Amino acid sequence: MRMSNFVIRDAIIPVLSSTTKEDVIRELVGSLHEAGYFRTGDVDDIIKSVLRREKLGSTGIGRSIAIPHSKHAGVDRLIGTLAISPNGIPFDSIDGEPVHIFVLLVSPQDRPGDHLRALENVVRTMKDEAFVKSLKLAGSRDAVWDLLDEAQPPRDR
Amino acid sequence: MGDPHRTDAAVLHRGTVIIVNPNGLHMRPAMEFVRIAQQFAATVTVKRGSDAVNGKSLIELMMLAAEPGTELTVEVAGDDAGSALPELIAVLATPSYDD
Repeated sequence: MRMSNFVIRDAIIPVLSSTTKEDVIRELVGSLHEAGYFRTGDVDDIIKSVLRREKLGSTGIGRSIAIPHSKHAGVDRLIGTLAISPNGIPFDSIDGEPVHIFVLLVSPQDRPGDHLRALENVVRTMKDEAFVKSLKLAGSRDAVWDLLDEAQPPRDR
Repeated sequence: MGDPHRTDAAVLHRGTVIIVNPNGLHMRPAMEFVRIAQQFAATVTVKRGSDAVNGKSLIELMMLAAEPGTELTVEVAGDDAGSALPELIAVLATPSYDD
């Protein structure tokens, strides 16, 4: 698995307009919906579910990255999107720093292994500081996609 | 420089646990593990087969992608290792976290 296997290209947000935690989650889920995912009736429920998870503890893992996530019956495989905030958004991250790169993951209820491998994938990919820097500067959906697609896939277990 | 007779190798504590949480070692228990590990001066290493990661780094722990049934070994070295190990093993052995 690599990030380009589950990130939906048409939902990538190269420059977020949101400036708050709640708004950025709405923008991320909304972007997947605009790209053709989730039934309209599920969108609010998915937003609430992601926000509920954030209340248990921020998914800001430090190094300017957050991985908000939720399980939802409205997807039949794990999907995600990636969004960039050039200015950073306060997200209660473990290192207290604002978040610039968001990876939203929505997975089916019964596929915890896929979720774990997606998390692994995101953190392995983002471990490369030069890669993160390039992402922040990408500026367009195509440029973000090319970076993800060229990123070295982690070895299989 | 401390006591020259002290050897950290003498206070290495090791424990093994099998992940039973049906969701595996996902972000919440990994964060809890790191939070506890950081309260101790001892070094914390988590091993899965031939992989070994720093137990004080959330990013490294998530790289283990430990699914249910995975065996993890925790090695703690330092003066407070003896009190750290049971707390760390308890997090990994917890059967359920909301996620």
